Amino acid sequence: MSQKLLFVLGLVLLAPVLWAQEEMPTKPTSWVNDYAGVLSSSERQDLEDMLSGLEKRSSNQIFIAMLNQLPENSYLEEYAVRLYDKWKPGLADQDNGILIVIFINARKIKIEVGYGLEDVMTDAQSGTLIRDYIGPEFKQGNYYAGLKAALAVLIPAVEGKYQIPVRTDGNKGFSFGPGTIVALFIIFIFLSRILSARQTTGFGSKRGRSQYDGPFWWGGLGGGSSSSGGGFSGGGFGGGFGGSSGGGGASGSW
Amino acid sequence: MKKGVIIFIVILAVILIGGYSFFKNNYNKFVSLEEGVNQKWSQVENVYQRRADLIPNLVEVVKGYAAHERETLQAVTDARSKVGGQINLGPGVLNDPAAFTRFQQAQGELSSALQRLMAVVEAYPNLKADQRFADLQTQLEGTENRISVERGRFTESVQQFNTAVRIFPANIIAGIFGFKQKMYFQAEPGSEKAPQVKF
Repeated sequence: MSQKLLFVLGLVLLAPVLWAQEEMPTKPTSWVNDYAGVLSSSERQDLEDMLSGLEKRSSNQIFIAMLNQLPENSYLEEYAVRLYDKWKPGLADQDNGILIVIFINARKIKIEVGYGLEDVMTDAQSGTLIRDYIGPEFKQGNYYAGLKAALAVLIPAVEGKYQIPVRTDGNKGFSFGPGTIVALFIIFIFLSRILSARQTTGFGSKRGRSQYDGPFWWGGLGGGSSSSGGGFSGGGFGGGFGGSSGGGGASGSW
Repeated sequence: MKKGVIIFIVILAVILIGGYSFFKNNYNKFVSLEEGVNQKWSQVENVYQRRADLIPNLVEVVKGYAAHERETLQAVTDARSKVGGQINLGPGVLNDPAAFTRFQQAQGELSSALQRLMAVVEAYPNLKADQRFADLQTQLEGTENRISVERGRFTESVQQFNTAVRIFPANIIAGIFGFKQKMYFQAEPGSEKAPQVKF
């Protein structure tokens, strides 16, 4: 009786682990997602700096996913398409994203290119990247070197097409800046004119000349400070996560 | 006015307003789903066109090394011209089962001809080493993947549309305004995986 219980208990405890292996990561934690643990943290940081810089300068989002095991009921291209659909690199309007999916055990790689970048990173170019830059290094187990060499070609290639610098104060959120102050200023002047006009037409109980002494408090408002508020999207990303891909790019193995 | 008449008018108004909403919401839903289908269909046509565009170059490069494989090359060229007249038919083909079946068949024949060509090419290592061929092969792979993806998205959109026009009572509106179910791709045997063109 207790053996059976232990067995069931074991299954219950193992279930999350087994489940997790099949589960596709729903969001990238960063530009370089090394689930297989083949990069050292300094190597990963270096690649991340390259990619985060690219995003800041031009809004192109390149994500790298390195996984150990290709799930059984899946194959490389299909997995890559689904992962791209979940992670959605790039802006929704531009589709300027690229996803590099690497399966270490199966020794397979797919470079999946978003619709918007298909003309600056053609299938043939992706194929060349895999064959000539990534493959040789990966064969030696030099994952960092291979990726760095590939990014050195990939980043300049895609940077030319979209140059949408990402605002560091977040894309969403209301900025209470100088423009807003001036607008409010003008509105108050209008309102005060309307109000005082009413007074002169004898609405009030005052007799004699009524003075135009509009709101006196708008003088103080001009000295108000302009601060940029708004939300900052977490994780260091500046935005994006809206792009889609049509399955373009190239796959290969090493 | 008699109370009964007032009640009658109120009930009539409720029915009319409800009916109008029902008509409007469903009609608009069909329209936007149909637009989705048409848009996905043009994506499908685009990627099939892309594949057809690769063929002439491919045949040229292969001829340079394997001119003897005349039959196989000719089969590809023939299949390609058959397909050439079929693409860019527009969304009308989705309501024409005969035309749609012809389309799928023609594309299927091209796929088979290409697979035979790729099998034959294995015997020519010099051809495989040629950079132009390697690039074309990569492009062909990429295009086949795209075809797979766009077809999948198209099929999904058609399923949504077909379901919407079939369920009761929305199907009444569909019938009135002539929204018919659309064709979609029948699974070809062995087509669960995207055709793999291996190096």
